[in-house]
Amino acid sequence: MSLQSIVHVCLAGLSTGMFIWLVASGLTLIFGVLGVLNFAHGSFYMLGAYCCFTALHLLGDNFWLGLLVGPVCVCSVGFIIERYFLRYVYSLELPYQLLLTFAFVLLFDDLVKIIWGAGSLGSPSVPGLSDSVNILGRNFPAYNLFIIAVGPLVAFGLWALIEKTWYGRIIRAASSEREMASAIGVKVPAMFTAVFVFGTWLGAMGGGLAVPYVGLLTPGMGEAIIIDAFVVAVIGGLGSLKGAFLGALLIGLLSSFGTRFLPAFDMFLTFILMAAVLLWRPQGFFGKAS
Amino acid sequence: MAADILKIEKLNKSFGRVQAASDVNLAFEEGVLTSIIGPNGAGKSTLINILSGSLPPDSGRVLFDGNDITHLPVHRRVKMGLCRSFQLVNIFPEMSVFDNILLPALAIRNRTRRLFRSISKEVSVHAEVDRLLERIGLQQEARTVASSLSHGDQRVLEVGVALAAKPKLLFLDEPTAGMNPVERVRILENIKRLSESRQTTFVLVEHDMDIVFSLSERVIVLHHGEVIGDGTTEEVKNNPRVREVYLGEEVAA
Amino acid sequence: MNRYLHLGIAILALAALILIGIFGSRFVIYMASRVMILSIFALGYNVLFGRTGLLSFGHAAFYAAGAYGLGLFSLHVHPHPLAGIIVGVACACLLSLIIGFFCVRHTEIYFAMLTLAFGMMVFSLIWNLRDITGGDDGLIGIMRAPLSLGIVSISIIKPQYYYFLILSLLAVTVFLIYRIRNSPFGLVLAGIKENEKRIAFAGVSLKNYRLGAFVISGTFAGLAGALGALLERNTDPFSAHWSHSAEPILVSLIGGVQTFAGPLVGSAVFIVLREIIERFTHNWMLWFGLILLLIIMGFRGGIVGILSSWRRDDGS
Repeated sequence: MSLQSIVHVCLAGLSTGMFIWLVASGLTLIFGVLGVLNFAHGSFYMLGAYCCFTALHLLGDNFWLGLLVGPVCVCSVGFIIERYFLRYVYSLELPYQLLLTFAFVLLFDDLVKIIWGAGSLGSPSVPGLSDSVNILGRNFPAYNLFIIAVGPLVAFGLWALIEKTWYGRIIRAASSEREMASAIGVKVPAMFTAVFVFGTWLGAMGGGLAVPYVGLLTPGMGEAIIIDAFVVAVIGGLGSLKGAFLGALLIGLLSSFGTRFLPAFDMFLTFILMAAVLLWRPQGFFGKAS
Repeated sequence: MAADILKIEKLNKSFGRVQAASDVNLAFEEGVLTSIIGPNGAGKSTLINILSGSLPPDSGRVLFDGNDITHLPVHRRVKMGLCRSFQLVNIFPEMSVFDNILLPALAIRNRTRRLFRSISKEVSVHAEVDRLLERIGLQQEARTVASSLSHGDQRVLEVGVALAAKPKLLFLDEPTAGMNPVERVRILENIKRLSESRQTTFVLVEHDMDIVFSLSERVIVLHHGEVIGDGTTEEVKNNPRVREVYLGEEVAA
Repeated sequence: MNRYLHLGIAILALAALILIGIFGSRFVIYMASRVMILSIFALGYNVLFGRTGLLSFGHAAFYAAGAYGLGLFSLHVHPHPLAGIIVGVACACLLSLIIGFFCVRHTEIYFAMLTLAFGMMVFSLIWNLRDITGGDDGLIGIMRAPLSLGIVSISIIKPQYYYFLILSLLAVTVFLIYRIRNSPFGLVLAGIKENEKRIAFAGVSLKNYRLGAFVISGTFAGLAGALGALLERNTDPFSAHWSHSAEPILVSLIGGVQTFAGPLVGSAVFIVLREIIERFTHNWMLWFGLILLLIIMGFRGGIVGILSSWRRDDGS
């Protein structure tokens, strides 16, 4: 177990973690403000990836343009879901909200297969980041380093948005006191839609950033990541962005070390951690006690 | 002299800086219809919540029939005979009136563990439910779905559900809230009659003075979590501190 | 009037199932077997979901416990089908008791997430312990040995004969669940669904009755799993995956969550519809997603709910 292998496993874990963070950030935001656990968030991740893929092909194989356009398309889907479906089930019991989002998971899983086919799609290389960097004697993809940098950037951006801006203040108010916010004139339904769409965008961005990865673009990618995102959201504390970020790092690292050193049990470990947190500290490490 | 069915020793509870219960020491005698009054925010609901088990106290003890129940969960207290009704109607809305009463009646007799026995076989309990419905005046509505009752009838059912558990001590939390005068008289007469039959000791929580003084044998006055008056209606009416507290809110008759 | 109508429908349904067993083609019998097994899964699940409102994403684990319990017993100890079924059911019951103990003290979202976590733990164990469970291949070659009860020995190798075993166990399930529904215990569960906060004040320990419902539903899931393993003669690790937990939910919703017959009707509709859709397209999930959407947005009573409301509009 050399320093080199440890560092590389860590770096791999961090980059995995960042994808989970991107999806979990949207999930957490939506849960924190709307109170809905969006099963379909993995699907937004997947749709983001596929839309980016198509977009970049249509825009002259330009990855960055694709990244710009793709998630925006997914946002329109998110908008429709919240505005015309989710909005009507807020008053229903929780299981129905979960099941509604689950219905969309089923829909999108097949929709993706219909539109893009069931196989995995090719991964374009990103100019400027397609090389490897030599770290401690072994090569590590530069793109992964980029991803590791993007994660904290997004975290910082979200933090700034929520803590420092006017919008952020309204979001914070509405998530803790929905009726009060409505009473002081905040158009809660419109805000819910906005937050949902923004959360969708975050998830879709995560998907877009996953496009250059070899073999990652498959119709199963949504389901694969949503469970991890749930685990992370729970561990960090449902509704806490800070928790989600740290949780994502933790799960990413755990997963990476697990795959490397205990390959048989890494899935098991993740879930046991999730169960343990739910049992002993349901509010996660950073959430508010319910 | 009747036994003390419930004893409260040095009870304290605060929410942040608000002292909802402050060194409360009380004893409730069996069979004595008692009322707890106090202006809004006096700590009445908190006290009921602690005594019935939905809220733990910060310190102090609650003794029921000599047993320390301070940390006992709600359903165990109910089984021991300590029950409460709610200010906001808290019934089983889509079940019939009969079933609303049947459920607690079966539960306290430990019949609810029965998985495979048909409910229609519980003849003795059925008869008891019928009797209770008669006593509270709802036997006509036995098959009606609870949510389609009039508000006044729902409030009566609310008390009925609590009575179904055959409590030795029953806390009624503002039982007449939202009732019109006719309904109010009816339910109070019911309570008086039931109290006289000596099967249950009633403790009323109210902030309407007229009700309290017309019905109770004993009145306890709370203010900011403290007991500031305790005695017969005459004693309390003439208690200077009580008059002081209520002068700004209601004119003591 | 109502009771006789229900009894009449039940007898008709039983007669139909018997006729299918006698005259149906191999394919029809296979489909009907799957419908019945799914019905058992869903009927049991509905005791938890329909009556207490708790949404569990882990019940697939109990189905798998029944399947693998039977499979391992059958392959390593003795292939007697009834013994295997009993072992499978016992495994599922025990597992649901353990997992349920941890889960029922929490509500709603946390409950759902906990059951998901535990369910996936079971899945990952099944997936990874290749030597015991066969990993992604599952356990293969489970025998459908003859049902020997003392002197009588009934062969169940022919799908037709096995069909009748499933039918009998479905009848037993329906009977038991009907009794539970109309028992004092069932009344408590109904009360929990209506007013969770009041139930403790009625003298009921919320946790204990939730656990009871959880274990009951888990046990029936195990029965379904054991029967499924005998039907397919192998086990499938994905039967423990959380997405498989969605099936009884879906089926109950289609049929009608609050009703007794809902899971039965829903199972039939689900399996038949899926077959039909799969003839034309691989994308049955799309259609079920749409159906689920439709149900949640407007028809939460499910098929039985809709039928009941028609009858009420006509009759009364």
